[in-house]
Amino acid sequence: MTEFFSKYFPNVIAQGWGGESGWLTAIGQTFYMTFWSFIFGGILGLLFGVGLVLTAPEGVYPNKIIFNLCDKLVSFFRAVPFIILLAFIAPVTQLLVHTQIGTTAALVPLSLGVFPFYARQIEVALASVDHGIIEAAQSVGATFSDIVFTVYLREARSEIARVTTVTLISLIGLTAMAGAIGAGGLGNTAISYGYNRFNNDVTVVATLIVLLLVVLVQVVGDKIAAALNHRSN
Amino acid sequence: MSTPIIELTNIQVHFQQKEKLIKSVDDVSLTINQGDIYGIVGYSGAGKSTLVRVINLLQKPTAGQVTVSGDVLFEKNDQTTHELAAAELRTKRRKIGMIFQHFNLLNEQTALQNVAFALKHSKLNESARLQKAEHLLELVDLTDQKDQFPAQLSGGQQQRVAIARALANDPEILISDEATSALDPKNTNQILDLLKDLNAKLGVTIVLITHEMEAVKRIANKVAVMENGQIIERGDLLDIFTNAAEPFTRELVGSQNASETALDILTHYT
Ligand SMILES: Nc1ncnc2c1ncn2[C@@H]1O[C@H](COP(=O)(O)OP(=O)(O)OP(=O)(O)O)[C@@H](O)[C@H]1O
Ligand SMILES: [Mg+2]
Repeated sequence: MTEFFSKYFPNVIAQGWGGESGWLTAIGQTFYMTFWSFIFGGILGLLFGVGLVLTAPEGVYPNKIIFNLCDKLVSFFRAVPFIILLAFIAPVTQLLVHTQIGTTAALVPLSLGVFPFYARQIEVALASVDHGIIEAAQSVGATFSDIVFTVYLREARSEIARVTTVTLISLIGLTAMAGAIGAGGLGNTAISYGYNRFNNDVTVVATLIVLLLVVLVQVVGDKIAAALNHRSN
Repeated sequence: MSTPIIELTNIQVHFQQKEKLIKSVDDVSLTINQGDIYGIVGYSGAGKSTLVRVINLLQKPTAGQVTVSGDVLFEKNDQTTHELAAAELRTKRRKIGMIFQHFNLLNEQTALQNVAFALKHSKLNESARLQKAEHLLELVDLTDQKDQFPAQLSGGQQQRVAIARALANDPEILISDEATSALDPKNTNQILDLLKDLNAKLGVTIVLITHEMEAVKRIANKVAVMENGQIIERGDLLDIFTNAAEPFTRELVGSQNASETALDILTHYT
């Protein structure tokens, strides 16, 4: 096994486990970036998504100003390609984390990159809640928080799990690009140590690990979504 | 003797759509007395749903006055505009139960949780709320199904959960908007009889919107006929069925001969 590996994947072995170029380091960086930007971007996206649905003209609490503000912001950040966003918000990154490069610096553009995507996904997920259910809730005197938590978020929870899975997967894709600002991660390994140095074996292994991650997220996400769904039997 | 519980005065609900003004409810006044089972009939698009949604202000009228149990919930005319504050409106709404054609239960909550949801803001403590919810499910004969999700229940059972939910806050009024339209005849009759029973036992006033004349005949004591946003005829059930003035009403009632219908109604009533 080891023999086979060192014969066909010499450069993969040369990368080592730890150290700056090591596999564990890269995997750790990918996890770190995915996790934290998912937390920040996710919260932001959830807030915007819920805000959009509630304040829409046909929503429960129509509000032109809030709706337009959310809508424009989301559309704007959604329109900027991520690789450009990386550069574009560098000053903001500097302000927030006092550096423009590295894994932590990447969290700022990653969060901002994923939030509009998640906001739109949440919007779609919440739209799956039948208006009649909301009306029925209002007819028993539901409050704002009842409508948000018990009706929208709870009723759409399976859909939310589904779109969260999609978002996480797309976020893993984004972290691969964060190598461009020295954030490391598996994408960086594939490009800098693999592609740029003609070490195809490194590229292949890095790709396989990313693939494995994506499949894992998808499988777990599907399971959760199914477990949370009682709409149909 | 008969006290008005719902008073709709000159209610107007207009929707401005692009160039067109849709007059869904056009200057309708309607008084419903305590203890009535008031049927509102008319073809699709007549404005029935829009009119009854005004009662608990799920639909705000563009003009008119809404009085429920003596309290003015809404008033808007050339001189004044009066609206209840949001919190007061919520409290009022809890005294007006409503059931719908598609049941509209929370899909991610069990039957019991659906009923308990309506009690969330009642003064009862947690265990008393659950107890009351269980009692309500018992009332609609669903004790065994209390931990089932709506998708696991039949249409008739779901509607009974919805009725239990609508009754949770001991409402004085129960609005039924096509509540039996998605059910088969057997379930329809069960639900109608349940409504009639609730009316008799609890004294709940019922507003029954339907396009099925049979339903009205079975349980209502008063009927209003709507067409194009207006009430074109109203009165006691027997009157409407035996000597309707409007051709439209006669068409709706069907060409069954008068004495037969009267007999029909009278048998239901005894
Ligand atoms: N929010 C709205 N915006 C625009 N038009 C509306 C709105 N709600 C209702 N309408 C219109 O008002 C009219 C009456 O609708 P309504 O739902 O009250 O009829 P209905 O008698 O309940 O009919 P059905 O038996 O089909 O339920 C219809 O023409 C409908 O298109
Ligand atoms: Mg209707």
